[in-house]
Amino acid sequence: MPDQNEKYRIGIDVGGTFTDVVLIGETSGSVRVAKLLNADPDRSETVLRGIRRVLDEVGIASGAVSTINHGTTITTNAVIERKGARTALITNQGFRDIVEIGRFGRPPDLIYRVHEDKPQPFVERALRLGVACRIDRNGAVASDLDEAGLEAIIVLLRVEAVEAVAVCFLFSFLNPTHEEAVKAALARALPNVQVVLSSEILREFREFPRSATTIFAAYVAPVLRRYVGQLTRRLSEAGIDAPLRIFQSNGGIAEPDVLMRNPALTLLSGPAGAVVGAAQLCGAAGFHRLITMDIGGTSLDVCVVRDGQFETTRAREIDFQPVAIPMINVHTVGAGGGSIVRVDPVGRVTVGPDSVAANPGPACYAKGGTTATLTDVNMVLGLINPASFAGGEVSLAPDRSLEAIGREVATPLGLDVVAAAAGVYRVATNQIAEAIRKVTVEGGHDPAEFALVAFGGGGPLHACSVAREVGIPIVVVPRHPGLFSARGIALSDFFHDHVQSVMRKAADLDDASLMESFAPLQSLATRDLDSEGIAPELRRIELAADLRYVGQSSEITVPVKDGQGMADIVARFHQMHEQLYAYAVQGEPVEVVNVRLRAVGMVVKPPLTAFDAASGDARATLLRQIHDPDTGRPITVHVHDRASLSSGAEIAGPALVEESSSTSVLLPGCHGTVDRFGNLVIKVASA
Amino acid sequence: MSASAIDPFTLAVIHASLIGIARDMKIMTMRTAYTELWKEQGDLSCCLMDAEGDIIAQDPNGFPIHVTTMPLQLKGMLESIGRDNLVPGDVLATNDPYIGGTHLPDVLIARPLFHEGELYAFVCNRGHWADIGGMGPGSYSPATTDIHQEGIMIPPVKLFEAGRVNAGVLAMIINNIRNQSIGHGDLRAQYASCGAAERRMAGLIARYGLPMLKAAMAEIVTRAEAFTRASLASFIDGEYHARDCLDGDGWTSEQRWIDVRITVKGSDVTVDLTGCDPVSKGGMNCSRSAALSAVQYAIKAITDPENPPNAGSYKPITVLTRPGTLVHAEPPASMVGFGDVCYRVMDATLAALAPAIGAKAIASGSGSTGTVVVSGRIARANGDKYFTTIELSSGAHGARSFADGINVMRYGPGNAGSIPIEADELTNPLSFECFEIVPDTGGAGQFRGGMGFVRRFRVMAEGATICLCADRHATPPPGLNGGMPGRTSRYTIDPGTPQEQVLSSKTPYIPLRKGAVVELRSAGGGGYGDPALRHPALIARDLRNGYVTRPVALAAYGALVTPDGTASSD
Repeated sequence: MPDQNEKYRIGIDVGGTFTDVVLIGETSGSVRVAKLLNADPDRSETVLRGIRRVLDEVGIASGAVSTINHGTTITTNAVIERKGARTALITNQGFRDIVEIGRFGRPPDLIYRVHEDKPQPFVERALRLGVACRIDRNGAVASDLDEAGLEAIIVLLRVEAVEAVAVCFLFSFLNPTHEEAVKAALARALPNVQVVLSSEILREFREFPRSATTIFAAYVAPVLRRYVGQLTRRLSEAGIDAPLRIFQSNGGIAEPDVLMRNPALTLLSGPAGAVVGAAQLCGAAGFHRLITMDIGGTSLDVCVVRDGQFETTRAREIDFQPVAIPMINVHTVGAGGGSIVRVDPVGRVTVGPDSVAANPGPACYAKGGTTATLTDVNMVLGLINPASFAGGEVSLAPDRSLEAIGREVATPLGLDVVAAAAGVYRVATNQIAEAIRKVTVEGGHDPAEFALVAFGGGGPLHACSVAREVGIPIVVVPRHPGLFSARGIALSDFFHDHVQSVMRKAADLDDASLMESFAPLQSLATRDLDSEGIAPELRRIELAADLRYVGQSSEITVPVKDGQGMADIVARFHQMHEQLYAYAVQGEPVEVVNVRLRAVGMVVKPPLTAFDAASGDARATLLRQIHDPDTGRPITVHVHDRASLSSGAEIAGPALVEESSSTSVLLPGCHGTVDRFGNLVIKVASA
Repeated sequence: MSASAIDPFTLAVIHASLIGIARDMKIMTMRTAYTELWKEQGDLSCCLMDAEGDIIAQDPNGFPIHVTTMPLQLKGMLESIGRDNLVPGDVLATNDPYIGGTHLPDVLIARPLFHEGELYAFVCNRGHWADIGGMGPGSYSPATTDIHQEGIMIPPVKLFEAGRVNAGVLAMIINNIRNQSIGHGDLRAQYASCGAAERRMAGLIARYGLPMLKAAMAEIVTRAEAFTRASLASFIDGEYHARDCLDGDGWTSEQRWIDVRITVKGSDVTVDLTGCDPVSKGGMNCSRSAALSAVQYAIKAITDPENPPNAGSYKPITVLTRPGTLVHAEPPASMVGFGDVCYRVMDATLAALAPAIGAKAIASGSGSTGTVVVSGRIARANGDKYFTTIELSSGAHGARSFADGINVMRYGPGNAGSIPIEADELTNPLSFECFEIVPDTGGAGQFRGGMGFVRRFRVMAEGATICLCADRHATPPPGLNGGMPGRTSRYTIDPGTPQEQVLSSKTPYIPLRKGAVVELRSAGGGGYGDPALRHPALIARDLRNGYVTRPVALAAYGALVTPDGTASSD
């Protein structure tokens, strides 16, 4: 019987196939989970069913729920499927094609592919409308807003039945008056049209990323508003009046009203929840430098986390259009369980980047697909147990894998099927390793200082091999990896990011004027946290500045700690430049490009429950013959049931540890221990 | 170890690793460089070569023109310095275009890699420097008549010798360029990336051993060649011919002709450029290596656009050139306009091959680098006395046999991007009025050419100059199979005013008064197929979006259409 005074947090992660709902006791840390198939076309219906189910199972009243934190892919899907609002763009006259021109150079993928097309921008040219007005580089009005021109645009917007309008003028980050005047005029004339100003969401120079991001915000705004409205209504009809918070791609949550100022903050938030969850769980278990490796059906997501801080990026793109907001830097490549394995006509082996659809899936699903995939490779090697895949919900046919790998790989190469599978396993390992190298090179990190956190169906299958390849000494396979994302979302802090381009020489900025440049961001932060009702003692403000040497054109974000002045910040910049790029030029002039602020509303985290008694007998391992993925040689290994492993259990490789969502492969020489939180911690023998 | 002894999986692993090493070099260089061209536009390329100087792997977004010209230049460098004189820790540098380069601003940095005394590979990094000295800032005057006016020529030198910087050589280079702190920063970024690549290569040797690594490098080339040959076998055998021209030699407006005769036989292609015009007086010339690179790019795009290129991709291609022609310039001919010569070689190659490749045929794009250098004096915090900005003014794709050409995007062997308007204005004394698509510039056809653009700005500095090294202002990009040509480029000072001045696409440094307006209009891409066959829905879409105006649609397609796609007579 639950404690009557206990309050519960709910975390919801809506993925492509499943919706995960997690209920966490705020003081006890107790966890309850529901996993629902996304059968209903109305996702809010599935979400409500999930909430009901966990509440009923625990037997608590809806009044005991303190918050519902919701991660959703609804905006990402709207963008990818191009089902967002009918959106127009208002720009300076003469600049309506900024988002079509883009960077002008070809994206790397198109350099040789002269027969490929570049995707169209999200606003067609007929709805990209220029109006005469101009702010100059100093933020002064160079020419006034053409009111008559704006009237003509309004007429057109009405006739075209536009639902949302993005407004982006040059240098609006220095002076938003023209954008604000347009918003006022549109609010009067078209009160039902959503208007998003670039100066509201991204006060940062470079017009293409800013325009594209503003368009994304406008394009998904009505979609998100509709969905939140629907869900709120359903919740209240069901008598659940806990506040709803939405999870953002920066790894924090926000109240819907605050988020609606920039709905683009939800774009690409899908993989972020798992990273947040991994950081929380592994941090509590004593791992503070993590590389997360999430292998799903179609892709691999990699992210670097240091001391609970996720690396962020502002350089993500969808269809070559930038989403220039700070988000968790998840690097995605097309290497998942469903990735297609091929041998080309000249005998070259590739894995992905394309993959089979979830239906019919890999050959071993025996649902009509005959394509050889990475899952089939693992099947042939004996790493996947056909009887207990996905908790036994999908029964697999190993002979189909043998047949597919034989036909697609072994026969063309004149090899036996096991040798072929072992070879492809190595190729996949290297591919995953390259993705990890890319993020570590970009960040200037040494992989040897990190732990590799593996989850997703394919993560634990490849982790030891990848860790050895990259030189990572420890692999952590967390307990219940399936819950990661929803759990991370349930326990996220509130995050609000603000930026202001400054563009001043560091030498010209004294400490007082630096602090002054943060002031407008401070007031935005206060506005957001006030409206979310965050208590003063739970507020934290993180300041940072983007610096570069005069003449460079990309910046390093330098944290600005309390009481630090310009001299400290510049010194830190030199240091970080040295770390990232192997050199620094003391005495070279430095400029401050942007100032940044993150407002955090902290959430009190419940204790991480220590892992208690395991069910079943840990000694009752099975022996199974598999093939060493490195060599293809048959070896006999102990197969452990993860549920039967208590904390302190030791497992010597070669071994397999099976659980419903995945299988951990411990290569020969690797040694696993179950820690007190139930994580499987594997020491990886170096190659 | 023989090449065949390597198993296909180790091969795949080493291949991906080598590409990853080249990719990491480029990431490091882009992040540490100073020049806008590199950081915002990525105008540099990295690759890894075998001991002979043949390309094994390149960074996935390397500029074809940079990468494929590296082997000859590296080989020239080895000949000059002497392979036996190389020691571990050396860093070599050159920008000598005659031995196999492009033009002086493209500086090649190469580091030989050794294992137990054996030289087994080179890592190379080539970037387009914002300035290399010479006649004017940006080092881009088309009126240079000999190489010495283009800037400092760096013969093959050791920038580092056994790990120690050759301070005299470094100072000599840096003292001969404008914006010295930028140049120095860029150079440092280039050689630092080579060091990082060397460490990873050493890791591969520790893992696989040198014999296996060398076997893999050889096999990577062999397989790429086999794949390319299989694709070439689908080309229709025969002899093909095309001619196309440049509007002037950089000195006069005399047309300069590129003549391409191609023989396709089985899986071999011979591209004969010996019929090209003699060397130009001005800078409209290129090295044999640059001409080779243009041909290689064209053929790679229609044989094997999916796989990463390496030396094997080009082995089936033989290119014949005659010394003393504009595609095989000899000292002291200027090659400042090599990029535009390469565009024309590529255009003519694709035009010649059109009958051999069926649905893969593609009409000509805007056909120029569109290089426009605006420069002048300005006081900067770090003491630099000049500003220099390269405004790129040409970009539109030719139509394909099944789709319109892409609007306003670079094509061909180069791939520099544009500088964001706000970054440009914050850095340079320019005030922009326009950066937009120009309707009707793409040639009509069943599928139309891509639309060009206009970039217009006011110059706010005293004593500024402008210099153009572009093309297609007199001869339009041709259409294909009945498609109409794209519109020509147009370069104007103070357009629409009494003092309007139309510039030739090759204009050496001329003064710009403070307040002058400069307007750069790109050519459009050529169309494909008979305009009468264009689907009304496509005409309607273009009209709605203002890619094509009503009068031009009426003239080109004979009928206008309403937005629902039906024909209308008004």
